[in-house]
Amino acid sequence: MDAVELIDILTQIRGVSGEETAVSERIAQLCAPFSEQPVRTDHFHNVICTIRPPKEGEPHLLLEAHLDEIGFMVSSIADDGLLRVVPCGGVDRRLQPASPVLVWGKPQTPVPGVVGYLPPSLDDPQHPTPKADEMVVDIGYSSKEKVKTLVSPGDRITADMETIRLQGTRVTGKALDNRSGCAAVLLAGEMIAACRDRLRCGVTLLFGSMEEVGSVGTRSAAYDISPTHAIAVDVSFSATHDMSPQKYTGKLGDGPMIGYSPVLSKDLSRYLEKQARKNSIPCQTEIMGGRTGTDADAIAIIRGGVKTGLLSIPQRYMHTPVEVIDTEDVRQTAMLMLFYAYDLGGGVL
Amino acid sequence: MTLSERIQELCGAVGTPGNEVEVRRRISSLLPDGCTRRVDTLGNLLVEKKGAKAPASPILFSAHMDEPGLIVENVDPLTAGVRFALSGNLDTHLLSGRKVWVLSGTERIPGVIGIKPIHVLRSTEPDEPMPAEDLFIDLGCMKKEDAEKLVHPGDAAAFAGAVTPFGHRMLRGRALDSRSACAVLLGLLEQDLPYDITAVFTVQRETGSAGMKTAAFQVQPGAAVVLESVPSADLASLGAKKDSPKLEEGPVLSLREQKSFYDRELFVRCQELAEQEKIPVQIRSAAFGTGDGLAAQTAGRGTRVLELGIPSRYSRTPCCVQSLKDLDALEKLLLPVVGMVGDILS
Repeated sequence: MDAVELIDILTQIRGVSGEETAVSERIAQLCAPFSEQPVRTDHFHNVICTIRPPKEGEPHLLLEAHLDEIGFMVSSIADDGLLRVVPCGGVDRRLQPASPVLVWGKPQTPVPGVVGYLPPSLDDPQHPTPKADEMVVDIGYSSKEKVKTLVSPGDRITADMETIRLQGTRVTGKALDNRSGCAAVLLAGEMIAACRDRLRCGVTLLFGSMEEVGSVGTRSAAYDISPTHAIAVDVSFSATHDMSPQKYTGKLGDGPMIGYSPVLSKDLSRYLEKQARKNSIPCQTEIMGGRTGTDADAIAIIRGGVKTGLLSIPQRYMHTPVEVIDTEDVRQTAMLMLFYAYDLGGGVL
Repeated sequence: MTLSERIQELCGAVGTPGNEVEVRRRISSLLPDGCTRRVDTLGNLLVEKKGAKAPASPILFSAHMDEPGLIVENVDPLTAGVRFALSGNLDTHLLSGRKVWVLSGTERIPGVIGIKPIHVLRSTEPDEPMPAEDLFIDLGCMKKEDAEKLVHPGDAAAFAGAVTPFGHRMLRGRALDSRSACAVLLGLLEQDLPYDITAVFTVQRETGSAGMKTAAFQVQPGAAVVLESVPSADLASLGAKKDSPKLEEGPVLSLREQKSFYDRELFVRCQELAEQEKIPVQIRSAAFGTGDGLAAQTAGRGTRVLELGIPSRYSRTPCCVQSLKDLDALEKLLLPVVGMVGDILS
């Protein structure tokens, strides 16, 4: 699989938190060829792919990425045909007014919409960011009855944004948080499966749901899988001009960011760093004084505790429809997981 | 080609103020036979169409070709981001989170306008978009030199996208504010007219109507009919403004713009005409901003102006919405307007 192609496929499928069926099905298809057991999709829409079950006494490595994306959910239909909506996850309200969206309602194809707003006027030129409970979506019908035939409360809404290539190996689009992480785990899974006979540990891939609303899916699936070691893959902040370069040191194209945080295993993180250096994989570090804000927080405290590491793909403009990542970072993240899987049980390359 | 198709075709062109070449080319290719056309110094497209009679003095119809956009200033050495200035009337709060094209020659280079994630906002920072001067276009370049090879100061940039059908006979997308009027005017030129007219597709309306000022001077019209989009704030659930033009309620007859009042007789006669023709119209008595109407009114010795508007939701944003019902009604109204204006002038 090619990283760019994979990211293009994954970002265009809908999967707003709590309604991940479509992306879940697609990912299950994508990992079927390298799963040793049938790929499992549970009631949370988590996707579980066993590449090699652990043998007695062997360590069991979990590679995880969340598959959900932020968006909106329809809460009700107003008398003038507008959809009242609530955010699913940390939607950036500042840039929502007059932005194009897709409503995944009753028709086979999504219903195009625009996030409604009133233009500033002479007497009130200010443009306050809409409050979370005051957001509406306009789908171009003034009849409530007509709108009811297309959309129902609970339907999810995504940004209407295609994924496009920028200069070099960079791409932009919606849901790169965290479909780029999913792509990295899929790429790693494919490579690991190709040489599974030489592994000395179990390897399971997990694509977890509802991370954006609190790691709901992964918590349960990881409990079920019961790994001894885990690496979570997510995106993290790459500094932009408006962020402190001293505090946010992540850079696009400089490789995966290896996380250090109280809940993460310092041994595992150090090991990843050493391995990256040994194998000429570029990498950077990300230091977090408390929680990581990713599924790693949930995985580390499953059952009696799991030695957990976090690899973050540097990203600009997180939680906007124009997130930017470097696909080379995705490839390098996958490589690092491959090397780790080999080393974990003392396997030989 | 239907009106909707014409609009989609014209909105596919990028044309910020002073860079209207591509729009002009597309309009020219859609002009019917039997018109004489010329492009003037600033780039206005002037089209003369013969009617049954010559009016006592020229009748001018206009629509502007340019869309509000951005213009490249320089490349930031630290981030390789492209700094830009605004070129035209955009809601400056709505720039971030959008995809853009930078025009370098005939090539469109994709980029995005990003913003610091909400996760890293300090609690003291305002929860609002950043001002335009603090934003960059990110082309994905690693180094300043890479970006400088692609773009040059002065290059135009515009919001990327397309216009597509939307909702109940509506259209949604980029540059609708300017191009829908051009498409309606093209429709008028396809019909047999009672009087000769000069249709002008103007440039640089968004930056002060340089196009209309010079076009009106050349045509010296007895009356000018200016087609413009007018902002609509008609969403009831959000507390619609009472006097706002509403989508699907017909073309807008403007009594005034911010700095001037239009010709009363043309207004009243047009209102009567719409009633006769059973075409619903709305009246606008308050306006925010000025455009080609005032420019036509005050060029040379001055002229009488009738402004016909198209209600436009999310006007001045990269994602406007207009109703085909309004656009069809405007197209239908224009033919009798030619006769009405010609009769008044004779």
